[in-house]
This record gives sequence, structure tokens and C-alpha cells, in this order.
Amino acid sequence: MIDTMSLKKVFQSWRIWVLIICLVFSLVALYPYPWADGVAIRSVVKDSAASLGNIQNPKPNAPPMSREVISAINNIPIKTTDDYAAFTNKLTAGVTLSIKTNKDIYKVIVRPKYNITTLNETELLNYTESTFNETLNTTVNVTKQKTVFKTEKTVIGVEDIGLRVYNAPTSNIRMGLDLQGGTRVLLKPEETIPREELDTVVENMKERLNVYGLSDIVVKTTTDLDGQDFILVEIAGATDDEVKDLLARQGKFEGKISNQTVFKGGQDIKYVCKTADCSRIQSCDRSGTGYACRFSFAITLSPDSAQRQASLTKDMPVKIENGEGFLESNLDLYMDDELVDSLRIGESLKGRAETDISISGSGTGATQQEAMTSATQNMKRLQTVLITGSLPVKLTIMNSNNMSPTLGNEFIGNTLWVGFVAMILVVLVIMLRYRKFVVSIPVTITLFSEVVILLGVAALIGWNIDLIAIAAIIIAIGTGVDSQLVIIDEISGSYRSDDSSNLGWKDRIKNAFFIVFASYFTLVVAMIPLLFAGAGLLKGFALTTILGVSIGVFITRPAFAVIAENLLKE
Amino acid sequence: MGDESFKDVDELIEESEESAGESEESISGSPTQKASESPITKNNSNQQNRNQSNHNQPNHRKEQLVAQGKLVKTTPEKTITPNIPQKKKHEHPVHHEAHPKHHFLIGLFEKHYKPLMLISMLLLIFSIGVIGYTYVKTGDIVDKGVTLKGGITLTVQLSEKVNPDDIQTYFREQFPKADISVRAFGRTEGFGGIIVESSGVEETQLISTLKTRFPNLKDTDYSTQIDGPSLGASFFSQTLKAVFIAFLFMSLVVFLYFGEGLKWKWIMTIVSLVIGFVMFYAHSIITYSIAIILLIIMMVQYYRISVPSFAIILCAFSDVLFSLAIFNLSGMKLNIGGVAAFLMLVGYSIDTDILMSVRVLKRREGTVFDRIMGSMKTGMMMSISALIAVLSAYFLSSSDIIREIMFILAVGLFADIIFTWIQNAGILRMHLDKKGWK
Repeated sequence: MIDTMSLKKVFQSWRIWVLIICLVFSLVALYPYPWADGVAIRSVVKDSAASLGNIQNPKPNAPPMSREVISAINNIPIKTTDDYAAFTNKLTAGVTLSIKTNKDIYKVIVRPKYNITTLNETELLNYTESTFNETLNTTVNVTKQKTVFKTEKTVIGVEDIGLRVYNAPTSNIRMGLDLQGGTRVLLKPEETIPREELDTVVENMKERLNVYGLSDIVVKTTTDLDGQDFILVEIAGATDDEVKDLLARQGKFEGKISNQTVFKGGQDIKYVCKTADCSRIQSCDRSGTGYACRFSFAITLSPDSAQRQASLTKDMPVKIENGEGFLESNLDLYMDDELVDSLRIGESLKGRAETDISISGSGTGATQQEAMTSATQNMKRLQTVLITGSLPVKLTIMNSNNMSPTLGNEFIGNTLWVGFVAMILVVLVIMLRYRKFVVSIPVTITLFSEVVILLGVAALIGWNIDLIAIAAIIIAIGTGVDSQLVIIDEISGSYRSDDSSNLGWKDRIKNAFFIVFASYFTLVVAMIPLLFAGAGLLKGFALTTILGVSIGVFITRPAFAVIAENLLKE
Repeated sequence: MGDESFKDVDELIEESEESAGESEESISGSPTQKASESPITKNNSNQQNRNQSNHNQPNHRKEQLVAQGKLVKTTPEKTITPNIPQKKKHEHPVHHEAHPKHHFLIGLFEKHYKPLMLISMLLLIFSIGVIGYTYVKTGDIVDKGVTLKGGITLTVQLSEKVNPDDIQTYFREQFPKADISVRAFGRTEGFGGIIVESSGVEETQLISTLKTRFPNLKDTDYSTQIDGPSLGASFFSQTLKAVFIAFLFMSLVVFLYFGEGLKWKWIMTIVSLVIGFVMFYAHSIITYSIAIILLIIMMVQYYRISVPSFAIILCAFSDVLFSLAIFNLSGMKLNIGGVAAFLMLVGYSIDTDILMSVRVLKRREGTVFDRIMGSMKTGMMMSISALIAVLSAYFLSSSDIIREIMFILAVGLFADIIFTWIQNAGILRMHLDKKGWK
């Protein structure tokens, strides 16, 4: 059927070599390894046990196969996320873990989880402060004392070691969020702002997510046909609900005394305490039908704003309540023009430029546990926003998409099956049509190479394959079959008629590709507007289609023509 | 005087055409006489040659009958004459026995192509009617889904089998004021669930209601998508814009391929770019209207200077309209994926039209009808294989977005079979008849 002569001829064509080289490059880029097991590290939570154990946070745009993969903990093999979850559920505090990855072995000490409650007593706390000594011209640490409320620590379990993991990837294909699970939020600035400010927003948002402990994120701006700017945030893996809220917050934080601004988030706040000794849940009380918990954490103000506070409170009258003296006006904390909390100011602070103050707020819930979680979340969010400052513009959530990882997994399996069946059926029909088995060989090779090269390029330039991109791949392959049929009919036809010597192989190929290119150009120009329309939501579809048909027209289909010609000559 | 001799030739040709379509090899298979001129400059010279050859034809024909197909190509006069080797090929017994009933259909298609065009015209009118009815009923040309209208979509994976109607009733009882619909998804063994689409309900309420009904549901078992209504609205208006621009440039590419005259190609390219820019930056009703009026003028001009190009463009237009009409009738709701599919149709559905037009206009083997029949062999195969791929994805995929895309493409590809071989081929033949092509 296929003798060595025609095979030789096939390999004499440079078109075949172009295809082979592209295939090799794609395979290298894809780096498929279906037997991979273990769990890959998605992100490392800041200040967690894992982060103290020197486990590095992966770069968000690192290729999947370069991710650090955990293969065993304490010599117990970890093959899937289920193994990992089972193992970490049985941890006890104080144990040292030896985490073995493909890069290193890490020692991580499991920490206990405390519940810190504030008691109604005070104690003296020693703390060090670095101040600038002008006579010595250096910074010196001075130990000072201050009065704080006594706290009580109770161990309530084991603290999470702070690793976010997922099943080890088997190739460099980046799965879209609808396949691997994750959150996608599309935000729109409420007013048009210049490009540079938009970039500031993007940077700020990345920072917020990083401070929050998320690293596998994409934040980018997109524009639609109306020239409107959007910000697209994609967070891989399961995320908590409050992340959405964190993103949409402008984060304009203000402290006001009798409606005059004392300090603003960002510029006036020098330090925000996030560690357990100065940020905590203070108390939980019944309120109405549920519970309310209060949180508080310390911040350091800039000397300027402390001065402002002093001058504002200098002449303020004092009123006595229950034997304690408070200033007449409260310190009102506003977040995005919304009153978060109103704090009473102690008599002792009157007219004093105090830089260390305590910020508080609350969270509510139906049960005490819920109220506590809510308060912790609110505190974490407030801290993040205070650290990263405010955004130059208000944002609204246009569209948010929270995709389940288990559903995504099912879709991957289903899609592979669909692609396989569609390919087999198409090849079968073509075989039936030409009543020749050999035809199926170049058709299968071409279809397969088109998919491999397309995925290879996607892996190389780092864009995600999601469900809609898969639809685009199926269609690009459909057009591939169309082109192949045109090529077969154009080149084979004359060979079957008695008189065929008139038109050479080159002319026949030219005829075929004249048609193939017409279809190619019409499809590409039809897809181009989609690159810009609708806030880039269909950009992936358009790009995949254009790329798919381009690979077909310039790489695989010319090679197909060579193989088909030599096979059909028989 | 010439009429008499024409008739003779026609009869001769018809004889051979009886079996012309039997095997595509015979037609597409003899690009033998294709002159070596470049396809673009060729047509001008052909027109002149054709006038000459009208008179010469009978003689050539006779000569060739005697010569039994020893063809010498390259002189343009000879290139239009049907060649005899083909006829020999058609009489291959296997083919005749394999498709005996094709004679009637081919005869109908050959002789009565004009009345057949009524079918495509009726389909087009029907499509416009359905779309108009949808517009009157819903205020838009298509029933928009949650992603374009705003609302919450929950995709829930369930281990147990449930009746989506029961769940829908349950939800509607819980939220009597909201608009909620529930359908099932997933067909493969063990994987499936429901999709809840709602507008007018809070996300948290919806999820807690869902969890009351399915207490074992984990947080990772469902996906939530929340779409703001303003995004959907702007997305939809941009889609129309994108379809307009796609259509504009697709038309231009078609004209550059099949149109005549370098001057017009330059003019049309520049005009298309201008209209494209106007539309791209259009924000007001006035600029939209200007762009639309300019497009209509362009289409008229295409018709006047290049009927074959116009026929292809009309076919793409018909494919999209028909698919939209069927989509409306199917009761499905348009989501973001469907939008992509309609744009895809603009560029993809005309593959077969391009194939036919190239073969009819740029090749010289056989008669016009021979070439159409030859293209049909290849084109039908293209449509069938594409339909197989698209339909298998539609029936097997459990992803809603993929199924919606594939449904629209399947309808569009099916419509394209009718619109290509009846409408486009009909217009092309009428046009070439007028020009005196055989």
C-alpha cells in the first residue's frame, strides 16, 4: 500500500519537515507526562507555617510543569489532593513535618491555633521601638512599656500549615478557570480614568490579593468596542467569597473626629499589625437573635495625622461616664463613605499626638462561631485594604463567576471523549466516501497535529484553554477537514481521469489552496471583531479559532497535501 | 443564425450532463485545461473570448467528438468547451448502477433551478418572519439568556438523578416573584446535574434554598455565575456591532476574490475600512444609521459589479438569519457562547459557496452545470463531515456553552446546504446564462 518509494518522496518535501519541527516544538512546550502524581503547590499563605519553613510561593505565570510538586510528607506518599487532605486533617500541634518535593525537602513545624480573648484586666507590656537618635546619628531601639488589656490564649486546634495545593499537572496546558475551578470577576470603573490610573488600580489589586494570601492570580485590563475599560481578575483554585468584596472595595478609609478628617488609609497609615499579639477578636456577645463579635488591631499613624488629631481634640469638652472620662466626639471610621465603627476617645488622649491607635469593628452571625468567622474575615479585609491603600476610582462588579473544580474535572473528561468520538467519526466518513483506507492516515495525522500544535502554542504563550476555547478547537479542526477534502479532490481528480498530464502537481496544489485560503481569510476577518467586543469575554474563542486555522493553513494542510498526493498516486 | 447551432450543442451537452454529477473526479478532476493566467486578471479577457467562442463552439465540439478527447489546452476559446474524456468516464457502469435515482433529481436541479429557488426564498422570508415575530413579542431579535440579560446561573453537580421540573417548581414556590428556570445537563454515566438560571434573586438566598433541597451538597459541587444586567446589555449591542463588522469584511474578502477590476477593489477596500471605523467608534443612533446605510449601498454596488460575490454574501446572510430563526423557535436562550457561534457562521458557513464559485468561475472544464455538480460532490462531503463533528459534540458534550455553540453551527451548516446549492448556485447560473456562459 505505502511503499518505501512514496514514503521517501514524502520526506523529501520541506513541508513535511516544517510540520515535524513544529510538532516536536509543540511537544516540548507541552511536556506531557500523564503519569505525574503528587500535589502541586498553588500558593503559600503569608506568615503560615509553610512560609516559615521556606516553601516559596510559585510565580503566577510559571508554566504548570515547572511548579513545585509535593511527593511525600514524613515519608508517606502523597499522590492526590485527597491524600493531602487526609494527611493534614490528622495533624497535631508541635509536630515537625518533612515535606518532600521535586526540588527540596522542607521542615515545617505545625503550629497550634489559638483563640485569643481580651479580659477585663490590664497589664504592662514591654515593647521595643526604633527611634532616630540625633546626637548619635543612628537608629536605636528603645524599650518602652504600655498598658494593654490582658488576653487569654486557648488552644482550639491546629493551624493550617498554609499550603494551597492541586493535583500535579500532567502537561503544560493551562486549564481555564471553568475546567480547573476558580473565580473570575469582571469589574468596571464607575467613571473613565486615564490609562496610568487604571494601571495603578491593577497593581493595587494584585497587591491586595497577595496581601490576602492569593498568588495564583491574573489581573488585567480589557477594553470593549465602546472604548470602555474593564478589569478582569482571575483567581485559580477555590477561593473564599469575601475575595469578591475585597476586589470591589475602593478602600477609601478615613478616620474622622466631628466630621473632620484625621487620617486616611494609605498615606497616613505607616503600619498595620496583623500578628496575633496585636490583632484579635475581642469579645463576643449576644445581639438580637444572633451574636456579634468585635475585633481590634493596632495601627501606627504618621506623625502628621497624629498632630491633626491632637489639635482637633485640644479644646474638646470631656464627659464622664461610669467614672471614666471620654471626649465628647467619637473617632468615626469610614470605609468607602460608610460608617464602619465609632470609637470613644479616652480622656488621656486629649490634645496628645498619639501615633499608635487601635482600630476596631465587628462581625455578626447566627451562632457564635459564625459571628467569629465573620469578624475575622472583616478584620482581614480591613487590614488588607489599609495596607494597600485605596483605589483611585470606585469599581462595580459586572460579572462574577465562581467555578467548581469538581465540575471542571468532569468537563475535561467529557471533552476528551467528545473530541475523540468526533475525530473517529469524521475519519470514518471520509474513509467511506473515498473507499480507501489509506486516506484515513493523512487525515488523522493532520487532525492530530493541528490539535497538538495549537495546544503547544497556547502553552508557550501562556493562555488558558477553557470550555469555549475547546469549542473553537473543534471548529478549527472542522475547517481543517473541509480544507483536506478540497485538497484531496483537487489533486486526486485529475489522476483518475485518462488525461491528466496537463496540470502539474504544483498547479493542482495552487488550485486547492486558492480555495482553502479564501475560506481562511473569510473566517479570520469574521473573528477579528470578537477580539475587541464584549470586554474580552470571547477573546479566547476568537484567538483560538484564528490561531487554529492559521496553523492549519500554513503548517499542517500543506504537509497534508504532500502526503495525500503521494498516497493517492498509487 | 447562431441560435440554431446553439440548440444542437445544448442538447449534446445535456446528454452528457445526465450523468455529469455521478462522480466528482470527472469534473473537478480535469482542471486540465485551466489556462495558466492568474485568476484575477483572467476574467476580463474571458469575457471577450467568450463572445468569439459562442460562434466557434459547435465546430470545436464536433472536432473534439472526432478527436476523442485529445485536448490541447491553453487557448481560451477551447477552454470553455466540454471535453469528451469526461463523458467516457461518466459511463463507468459502477457509478450508474450505484445511484440510479439521481437522474431525476439531477434533472430537476439542472432544468428547473429557477422554481427551486422559491424554496430558498420562502425559507428566507420565513426566517425574517420568525425574527420579526420574536422582536414584536420580546422586544429583541432573540430571546436572551441570563448571561446577556443579567442574573445568576448555578451549575450543580448531583450524584442522584432528579427531575429538573420538580426542582423548578420547588424554586418557583420559594421565590414566587423571581424568574427561575431549571434544566438538566450531562449525559455520560455518573456525571450530571442541573442548571438553575434565575434573575431577581440574591445569590445567598438561592444557594441556601438549594442546600435545603440537597443537604449533602458541598461547596465544590456547584459553580455560580453572576452577571450584571448592564454588562449583558452592552455585550449584546457590541455583538451586533461585531456581526456588522465581521459581515462587512467578509464581504470585502469575497469581493477581492471574485470581483473584477482593480479600481473597484481599491475603492471597496477603502470604503469598507471607512465604514468599519465609523461602526467601530459609533456611539449614537445617527452614526449607526450612517454605517448601516453605507453598508446597504455597498451591497447594492456589489450586486451591480459582481453578482457572484453578492450571491455568496447573500448566502452568509441567509445562513445567519435562518439559524437565528430556528434558534428562536427552539426555545433556547442566547448566551455568550451562542454569540460566538453566530459570528463563526458569518465566516465559516460560506466555505462551500467559495468552493463552488471558484470552480465555476475560475475553472474551464465542462459546462457551468458540470462544475456545479462537481463542486457539490466536494461541498456536500465538507458539509457532512462538519455536521458530523458538530452534531457529535452537540449530543455528547455535557457543557452547556459547547452545546449551544454546536447547535447554532449545526443549524447554520444545514441551512448552508440549501442556500449554497439552490440559492447561490441559482443566482450564479442566472447570471452566467445572461452572460452567455455554458
